[in-house]
Amino acid sequence: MASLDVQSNSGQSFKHEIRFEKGLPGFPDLSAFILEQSDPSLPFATLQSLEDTNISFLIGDPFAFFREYEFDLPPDVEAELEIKDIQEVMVWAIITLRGSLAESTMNLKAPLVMNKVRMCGKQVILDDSRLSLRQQILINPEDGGKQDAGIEP
Amino acid sequence: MLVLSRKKGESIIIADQIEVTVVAVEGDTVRLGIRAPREVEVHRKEIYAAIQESNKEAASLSPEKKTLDELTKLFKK
Repeated sequence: MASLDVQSNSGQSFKHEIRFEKGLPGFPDLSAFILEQSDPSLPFATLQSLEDTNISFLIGDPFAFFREYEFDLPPDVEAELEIKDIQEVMVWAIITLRGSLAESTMNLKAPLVMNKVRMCGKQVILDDSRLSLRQQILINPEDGGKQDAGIEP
Repeated sequence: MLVLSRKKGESIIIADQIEVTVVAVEGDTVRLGIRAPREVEVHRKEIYAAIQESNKEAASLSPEKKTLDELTKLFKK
């Protein structure tokens, strides 16, 4: 499959149940989540567990944050999520929003890859040492809020 | 923990399906080749542990409105 260097998330508001059959690392027993994007003009959404109401993630469109971000979808993931066409793919990344934006990070090493037709997903751990799981969300207004995907020190 | 000695090129088999081969030994680095069914995920342990920890941290934080607003401002024109 070609690199996921296209903007993958549509501009429409979205609220739907997504199944993560194997859970997420750290939460192996949680498989049912609600993905909700209330404002489609913003590259954010929430991923709320249906099984544990205390568990909710803020997620973002990594391509909107990091212009250079791209990865090849591993073939085993493509098969597991039964992805037949790149148009079925939706990619999000977990944001860790700390006290200030300067301290906040996005996990580019392990994006959430979803099949929006089958409504299933998986947190994929990419075998690319350049990708950080704590990539700072820095501000560069001259670049429309975008920046290059970070290289791990 | 079961401890086995293996030389370069030798393997172990786990549960009929998973084969781990010592591909190379260079100093204190051992290169392993792993053959496993597709549904068996293989990760470097420290990376997997870091992602578990990162997920737990992300899930435990309830975003402050101030920071959310700052984040939103990045994309609102």
